Amino acid sequence: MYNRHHSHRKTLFGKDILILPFVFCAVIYIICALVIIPSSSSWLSLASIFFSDHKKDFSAEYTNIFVPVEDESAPAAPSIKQESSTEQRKQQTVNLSGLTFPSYEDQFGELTIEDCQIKAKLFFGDSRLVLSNGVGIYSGSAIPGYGRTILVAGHNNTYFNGLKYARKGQIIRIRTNYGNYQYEITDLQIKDKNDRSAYELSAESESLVLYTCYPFDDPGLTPDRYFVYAKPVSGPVIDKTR
Amino acid sequence: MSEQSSVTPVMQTEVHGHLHHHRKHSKIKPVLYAFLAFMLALVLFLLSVCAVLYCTVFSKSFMIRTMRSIDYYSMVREELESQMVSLVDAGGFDKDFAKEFVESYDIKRAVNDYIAAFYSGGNTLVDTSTFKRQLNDAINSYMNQHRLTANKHTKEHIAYFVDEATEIYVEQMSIPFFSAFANYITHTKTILNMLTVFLAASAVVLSAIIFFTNPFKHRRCRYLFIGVSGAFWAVLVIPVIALLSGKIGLVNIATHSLYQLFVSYFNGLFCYFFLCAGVLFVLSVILLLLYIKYYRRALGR
Repeated sequence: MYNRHHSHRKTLFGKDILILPFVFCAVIYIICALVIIPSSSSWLSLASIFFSDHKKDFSAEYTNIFVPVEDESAPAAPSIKQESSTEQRKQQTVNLSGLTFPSYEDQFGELTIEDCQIKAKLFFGDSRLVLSNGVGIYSGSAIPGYGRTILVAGHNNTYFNGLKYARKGQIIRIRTNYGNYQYEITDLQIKDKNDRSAYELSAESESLVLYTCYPFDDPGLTPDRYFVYAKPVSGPVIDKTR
Repeated sequence: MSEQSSVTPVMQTEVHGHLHHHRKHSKIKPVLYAFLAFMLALVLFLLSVCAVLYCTVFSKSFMIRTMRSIDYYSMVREELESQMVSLVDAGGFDKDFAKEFVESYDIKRAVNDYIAAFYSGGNTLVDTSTFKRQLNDAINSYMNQHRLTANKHTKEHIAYFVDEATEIYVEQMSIPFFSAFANYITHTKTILNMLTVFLAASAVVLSAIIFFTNPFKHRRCRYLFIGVSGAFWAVLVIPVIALLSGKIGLVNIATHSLYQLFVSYFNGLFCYFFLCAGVLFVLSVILLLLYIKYYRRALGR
């Protein structure tokens, strides 16, 4: 009697009753995998587009990395107009490796045109967030001192409204977290927004191009853009070799 | 298997020939019942997936409930307002113009119309006619208030502004891939309904086979338990892995409102999986208790 009782107790929760549910679960997923595998690569590539490695930040705040640099060597504005040689600029350099490069939508400087009563925060990028808070450098162009075209956008009814007072010879000041720059306005033009001849991003020499919608103070959006061209006067050159 | 082990050595000696015959049968039967139990597990798993899809992906009310729970409409309103303020900056209007206009526009109705069009399998292009009309009215009112006269060029600029604002509106109202799936939703739902009925019928048939072809009550309950608990683990794995991986929170979506909708939508979907797993778990526990009860009763005899 004891033996029979003991034998039943041992098999009440036998291996099958405990293991089989897990085996079934595994087999179900093996079947599912076999069904999915033929199209798995397309699903995986789709998933890699849909998901990133870190959570997206939706805050409407921007990062400010702008810490003004005291530049004792920079001469006052009137004398700059007279001396704007490249030789003089080469004396001041900033190492690329030591530069805190701005991320997209970071404020890293300040743009001022005293004659036009313009003083705006300078961002890297030209998104809606940027243009609501200041003016922004198109991310496909260069930053000051890099030796390429710098394309800066701003709204004509807010931060770049003063561009309507821009004249040749006026000075544009840009202060960044790595140096202070001055540019002299050389030309003013009105062009269509799709006109590719308005600027050349692949140019080997540095130039500053500010642009905004045109005409000023008119309700609605326009296909015309007001371009302000300027050449560098002073400011450190970024040494790309170091 | 347990029946074999319950046979005492005395019985084995007395009815050796009969037992040998019984053992030959008992090797096939457990395998057959295990297979039936597996089929039951597979069918219940697929049935659970279909039921979850029916209650979530193919349910308009689930989408609306999710939107309400996260206050999607307010988020869309805020984002549209923020985008419109930026556009108004470029367009030369006062900032308040954008705020007042978006405030007056019925976002909730527009979102619900868009969702309804999707679930009815209709056109999921965002209807911009009301938005355009109300925006044009608001601009005319603004121009009158500010005593601005519109010449030919200004009219063109305003038309351009309205087009840009409408593009923003469409972008804000649209849900990614909705237009791609809209044509399939009605058709797929019919197939899903048929599949659900078929799977439910299969589950009943498999359970009936296991129940009625087995002379021992505790064995009936054991195989049914194995099948149901197999389905329970399979259903439980989906939400557990998805939630543990944390991938849902890492989705790449342009706006905060869509991100919240996506995360809440999938969390809701996983809740349904947990609910199904819960039902299967309760069923498993009942079958297990019945198995123990009948096993002990058989033991008593």
